[in-house]
Amino acid sequence: MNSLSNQDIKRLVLVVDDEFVNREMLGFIIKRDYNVINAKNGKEALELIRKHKTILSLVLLDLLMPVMDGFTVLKELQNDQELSKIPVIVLTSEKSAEIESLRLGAVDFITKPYDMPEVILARVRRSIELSEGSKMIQNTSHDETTGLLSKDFFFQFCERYDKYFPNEKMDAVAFNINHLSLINEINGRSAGTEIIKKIADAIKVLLNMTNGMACRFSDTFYLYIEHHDNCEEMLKKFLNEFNSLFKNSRTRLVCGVNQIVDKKVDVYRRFDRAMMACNSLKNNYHTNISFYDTDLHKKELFEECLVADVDSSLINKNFIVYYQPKYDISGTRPRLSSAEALIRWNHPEFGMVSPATFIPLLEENGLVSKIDHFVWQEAATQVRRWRDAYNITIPVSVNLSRIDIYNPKLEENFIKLIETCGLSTRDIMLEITESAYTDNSDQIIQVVESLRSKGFFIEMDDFGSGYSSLNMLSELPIDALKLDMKFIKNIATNPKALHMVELMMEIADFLKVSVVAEGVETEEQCKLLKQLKCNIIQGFYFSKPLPPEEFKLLIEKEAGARGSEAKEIEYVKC
Amino acid sequence: MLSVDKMKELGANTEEGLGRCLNNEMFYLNLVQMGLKDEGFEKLEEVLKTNDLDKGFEIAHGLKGVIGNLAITPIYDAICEITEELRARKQIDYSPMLAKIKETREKFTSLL
Repeated sequence: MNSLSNQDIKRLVLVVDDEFVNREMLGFIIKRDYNVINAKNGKEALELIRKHKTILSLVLLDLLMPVMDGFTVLKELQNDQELSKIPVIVLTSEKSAEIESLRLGAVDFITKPYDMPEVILARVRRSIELSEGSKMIQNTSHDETTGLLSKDFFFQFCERYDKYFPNEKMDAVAFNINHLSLINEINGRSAGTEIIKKIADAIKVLLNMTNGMACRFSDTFYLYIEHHDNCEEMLKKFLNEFNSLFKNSRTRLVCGVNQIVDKKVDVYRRFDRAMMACNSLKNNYHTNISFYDTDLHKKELFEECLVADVDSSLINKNFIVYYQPKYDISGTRPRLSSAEALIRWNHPEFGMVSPATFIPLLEENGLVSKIDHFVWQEAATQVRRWRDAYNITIPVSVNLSRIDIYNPKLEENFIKLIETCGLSTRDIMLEITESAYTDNSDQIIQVVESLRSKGFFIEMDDFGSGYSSLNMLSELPIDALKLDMKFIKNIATNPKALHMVELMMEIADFLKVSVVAEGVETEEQCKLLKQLKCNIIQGFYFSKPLPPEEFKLLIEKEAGARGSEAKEIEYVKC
Repeated sequence: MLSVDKMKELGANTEEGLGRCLNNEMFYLNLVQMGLKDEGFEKLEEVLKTNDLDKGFEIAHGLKGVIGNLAITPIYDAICEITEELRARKQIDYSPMLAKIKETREKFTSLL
């Protein structure tokens, strides 16, 4: 079935004239192409316009009429934000009336006596097209909620502004509402929208004081404004006024400023820099404003360099997979049960770069999936090598990033990988961070359920660091919880911390899933965890993450221990 | 009986009038009938008797639009003349102009 196109829809046109003959004649001309309604004076016309405002495409308006004349109608329409968008063609025989009509918003004229029908139809069609076109532009160029520019148009306007005022010093300013989601969750979405609107209104006032433009997307606002010496003072005042509204809530408005932008840098980058300054405030509650400066510039260059070097580092084997063992402490001796694969980057220029530095960076631009694939491939190959060398299978868990979950070929890729290496689905365990579950639980549940049905073991990483509700936890398809190391850190010194772990063990017991404790560093912690029946331990107490050539020593030791145990059993049997 | 040919004989620009009605003769003649019977003609005479020039202009202007669209040229020309005088709110004797309108109108109404 063909869909209804714009051209198929008969638009509604209102003909307003006090003379019956004129209304009939005009209606007759246009009714083949348009639905026509009539009014015989301005008062009737306004009633019909208000009634049909959402579907009315055009008004053909006579000027001299009894009861209410056409000029009054034009004024009424002009004063109404919604009605002023409906185009009006004035019907007149008076040249002198044309200027006044244009001033009052008329888009065109049809003279009396009427032109030939083709001319009238062409004018009607053109007026409607122009009006619909401009409405479409208006809709895409502006953010509906705030009336500020949309992001794409904003950048275009910034570029245009620079062309007109190439010597003007400009500031790129980014405002972000930190934790707006908390307000949405606690007070409802409309409360969050109200805050956005209030900020937008205040920004409009700010724009009246200085030249510039602004846009809004999600919980962020960008402003491109002329630089003033009192910029910092002005923005601080703005922030203080708003942040007093949030009172003690964790929600706050923060601001990053790229002062006197470098116009050789493209406009997108200028705002990336403002945003970088803004993001630097995330864990800094002492101030709400940050300026893009030399330190941030160095950081930007460093990060740019890292991103640029990912591919070459993969080729040159600068990325290395390390393995941190997990020990099962339920028996008389700790048994090497499995390992976690962890990426390390020995950068040719910067040396060892911390994953805490490069992983969030690569997550931002999607490059992390390249790293993930590399780790999966290396880990699977390594499991196979160890099995071949020592006749022991050490399952390895690998991390899945959020972006991996959206890859429709994820499951297929894993199956192919383990088949190529001659492994089973139990040999590669998958770790998914708790916050990924809370971000998009429906999608993730679907993907993880499917992976589990194929036999993969799923661990929820960093459990306790996200915001899973207990209700949600009971529905998640997982096989193990990995307790975040923050919880383990103080169990030996703080009874509350120990009690928290105890509670988590109860939750795990209720969910019938096993528990892995991460970040275990001391014998005391290990003993306490054993008492709580947390039997799988990972952490420096047993070993730091090791390169494969060192990890093999742990396997050899384990193989030796298992060999002695087997001999003992044989001896006892004899 | 009213017909396009007879109107043409009396000086109407029927091609133009018909053209505005997408050459639908019946529709055109129907509108012509309505135009010729327009109450405005009588009202114009009445208000000018009381010297109400504002109202007179309003009515004349309305008639001009209707008769102009119907392209009944002889009446239209007569109405245009009086409309311009009324626009200027001239204090003159309008009866000769009214008579001219009446005379030309009667020629056409005799066809009805």
